[in-house]
Amino acid sequence: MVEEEENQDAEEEQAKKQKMDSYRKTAIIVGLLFISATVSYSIGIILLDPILSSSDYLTEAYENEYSMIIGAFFVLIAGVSAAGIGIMIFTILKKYNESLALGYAGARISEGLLFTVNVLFILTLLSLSQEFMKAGAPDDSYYQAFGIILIAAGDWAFILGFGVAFTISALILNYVLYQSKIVPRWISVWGFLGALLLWVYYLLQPLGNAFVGLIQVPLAVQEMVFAVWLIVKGFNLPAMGSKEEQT
Amino acid sequence: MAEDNEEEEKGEENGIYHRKTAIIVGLLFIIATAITILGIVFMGSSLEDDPIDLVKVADNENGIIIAVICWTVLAISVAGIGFFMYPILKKYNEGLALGYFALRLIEAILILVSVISLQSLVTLSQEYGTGDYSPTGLEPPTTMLMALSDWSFIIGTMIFLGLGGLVLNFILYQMKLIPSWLSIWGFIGGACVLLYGLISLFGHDPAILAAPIAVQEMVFAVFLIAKGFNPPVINNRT
Repeated sequence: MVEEEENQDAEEEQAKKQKMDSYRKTAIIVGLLFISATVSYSIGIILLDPILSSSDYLTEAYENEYSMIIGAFFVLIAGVSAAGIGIMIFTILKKYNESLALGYAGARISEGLLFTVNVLFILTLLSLSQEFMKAGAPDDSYYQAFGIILIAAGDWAFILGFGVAFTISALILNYVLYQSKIVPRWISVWGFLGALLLWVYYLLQPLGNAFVGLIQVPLAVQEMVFAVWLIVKGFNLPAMGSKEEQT
Repeated sequence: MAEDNEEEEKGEENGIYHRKTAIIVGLLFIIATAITILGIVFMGSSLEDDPIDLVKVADNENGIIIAVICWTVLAISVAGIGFFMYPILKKYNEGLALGYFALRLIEAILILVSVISLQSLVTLSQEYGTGDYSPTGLEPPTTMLMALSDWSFIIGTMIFLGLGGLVLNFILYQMKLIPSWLSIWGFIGGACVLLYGLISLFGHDPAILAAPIAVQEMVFAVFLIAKGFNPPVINNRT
């Protein structure tokens, strides 16, 4: 009888350890996805921005076909990583607040979808530029007008994805992190304030002030600190264990 | 909730684990494949010219509309597979199960984006027949709508389908819900169609890369309908 109990204890211990291992793995995956989202997105922008912001974008797009495709591909990876973050962290966040956990996953999936729509418009612009060159690159044609539509549509998809879906998601995430204390509160407070600043950034953007670009730096840096924290230290497990026993 | 669990466990004892879901998912996989082929047949060759001939599009209006309806049904089936599989997959890992659901949902939305573009192209071709337009003036919007439809179909049914195939078969393999050879085949098939999508971005079309997952899905579907899932082995309940 005593032996049986001991066995049961050992089993429980084993199950608990497995669970902890899987939380540790989740933390590392989420950390890596945060880094992958930031890095791929930056590569995408570096490749695409010079083409899309040039005045002669149809010719530029045609001539830099590979930059367009590879740039679009990296934006797509950033979108998939963003969705992946929301999905992988769901199991952890839902222990503290299931509706916000689902809201966070939904916001990041929407962000990923809007990034994908952005990619669609970039690739469609490439197709349009190819037809434009086939038609002999006429100076006075509707190709330019449709090129402008595609660039504007792509920009708006991005602004909704980053400026709305992502910013809301960052507020939700850092609120839950703050409440649950699964990472130190200085990280979640920093993230929450960074996300608020980003809202200001998007409100001020139509004014075209150059200085507002700096406003996104705090959240960008916080995300990388958070990512490294997750990879190196993981979630604060004791806090998680105690909460779990209550439920 | 307690009743559900009881039923589930009974089901496991009799070796008919989630029997109904298995049949529904199997049928959805078959519907998805059949309706895709049906759509391609009705579409005919009216959209294969380069540049697109709007007169041909207008002539084949009914064929394209039937194809577009087929692909709408495809989108519904794809999303359906995602949410019917969720309760089964979440026993292994809730995050990955949600991930599979999201990947299938995004694939369905991209198919619908393609449908919207094709429908708009049909509308444009009708306008072309009745209005006073120069043929070259309508080339840019035609190109744009066709390219948008093609790209969203490529990204949806190749890249997101491939990612979905990887996640699904990884979990099926881990839980041993289907024979390992079938899930490994599905995993490789997912990788192949993902690669197909990436190569398609560069304008090539190695269609053979779609074959492994296409055949595997049909074997998987027949397996689910005829036999159902094997009882799961769960070693990572989170």
